[in-house]
Amino acid sequence: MSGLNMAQTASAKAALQRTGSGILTKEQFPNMIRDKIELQIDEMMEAWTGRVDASQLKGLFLKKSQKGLIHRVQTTVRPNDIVPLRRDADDDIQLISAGEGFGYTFRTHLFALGVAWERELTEVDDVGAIAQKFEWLTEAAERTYKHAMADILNRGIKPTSAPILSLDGMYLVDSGRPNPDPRAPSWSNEESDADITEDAWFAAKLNAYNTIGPNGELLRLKINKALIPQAYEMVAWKLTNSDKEVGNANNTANWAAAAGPKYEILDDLTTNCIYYILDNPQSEKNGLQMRERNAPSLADIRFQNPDKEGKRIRFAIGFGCLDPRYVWRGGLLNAL
Amino acid sequence: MANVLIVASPQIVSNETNITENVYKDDGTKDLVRGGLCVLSAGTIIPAETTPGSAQKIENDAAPFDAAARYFISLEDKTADGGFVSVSEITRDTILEGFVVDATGSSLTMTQAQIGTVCEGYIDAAGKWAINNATTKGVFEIVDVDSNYSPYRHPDAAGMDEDSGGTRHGRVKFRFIASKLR
Repeated sequence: MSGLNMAQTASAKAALQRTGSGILTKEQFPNMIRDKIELQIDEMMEAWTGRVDASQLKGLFLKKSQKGLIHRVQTTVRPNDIVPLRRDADDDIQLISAGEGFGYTFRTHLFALGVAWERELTEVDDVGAIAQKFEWLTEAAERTYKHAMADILNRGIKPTSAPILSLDGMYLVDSGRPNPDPRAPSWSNEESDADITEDAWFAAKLNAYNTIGPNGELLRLKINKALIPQAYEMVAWKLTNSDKEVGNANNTANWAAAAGPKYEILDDLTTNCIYYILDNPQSEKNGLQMRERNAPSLADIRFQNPDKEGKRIRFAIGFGCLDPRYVWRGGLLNAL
Repeated sequence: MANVLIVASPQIVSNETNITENVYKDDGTKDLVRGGLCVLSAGTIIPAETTPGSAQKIENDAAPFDAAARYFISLEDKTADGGFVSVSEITRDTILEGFVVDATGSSLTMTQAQIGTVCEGYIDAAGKWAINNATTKGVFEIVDVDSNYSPYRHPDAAGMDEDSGGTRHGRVKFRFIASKLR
């Protein structure tokens, strides 16, 4: 490298990547092991940008452990009765009646992924090029969790199909939801398709307030915060940062800025929709659950050939939703 | 409309066989492509193509797939010099995962119903190969489809598994049918 070239033109490089072998071989890292490399940097630049992180999504699911492949839940309905008038001398006393609610089954599924390499690769790997292979597996597990949870929320409102259904047989957010008490009308946690506006947010607040329980009891729920896709941040920011109503010249106070819900960008929400979080998702009131039968664990793969080495990660998880009404409301957003 | 843009060649995903070098040599004339499908011919490893460097289907009546043979994946780009080449053999136990192309239509994903069917393959001009979504002259048995074994695949919006034209391809696990392996 002698000359100083001030007129360089771009030319896309092609990396080597896959060989077709399932085992990592020296052919996959030829430059690493044949040349003297002063510094190996992971392409993901993990040290600077952080790793695959599903913590935001995990915060929206109530995490539970379960021992069996399936976990069956049967609900009962608390009666919503009013005490009637009665004379003491009246021998007939009105009796309260109750019954079962809906049943639900959580299922867990087993996942595993391995990485294997030939011994020579580690022997000649002076710069730790492939020393991160355990991290690759734990990262893949975290990524799987993330995709699974994101999929549930991205197909949670008026989807054509969803990865899970709720206790009542409906989607996470849906209308015309049945209640187990035959006297209770159906209910909805679905808002009309709308833009992010003051009126839409107040309608959601009012609808949450008027939500009934499984027995028809009015629950008077409150919206704690709204979750929106990144694309809608600017609209939401303007709505919540203007003390006057957005989009008109009237000198009218903006309810959404002063009294509306706070919003948070849910990074993995890619569907045009908004979720309103009512109660604490980490409380027992959250029907949306992640069930873990086995947390991700690493173990050695033992080959007959002593010069092949490997690790595998294995976990068993499942997802499901009991009654979503105490935590989840939502609606589709009109396209920007 | 046909789509034979191959994202990447298949990869062995289970029942890995021995990786051999110092055993097999190229034939001194036909270059080998990393990840490319190869065949043992007269004791040397050559590309499993009638005309290397030109796109073609893998069909059960076209050489070398018209008879039983020993197939390999080349682990390296190799300019033919008659020297040793690193290969991994494909045996009856070997399961590979590859992308789906369609040389006549536009069906780039496979469904549950296609598990167990025997499909053709396709090799492009660069030596990359894939499963062709057609059963007429099949060579590869479909073992599993991605919607089955990978329910939490990357979301479509992420752009993963898209070809150079921006179209997403499905992935399948497959193996050679026994009659094509010696």
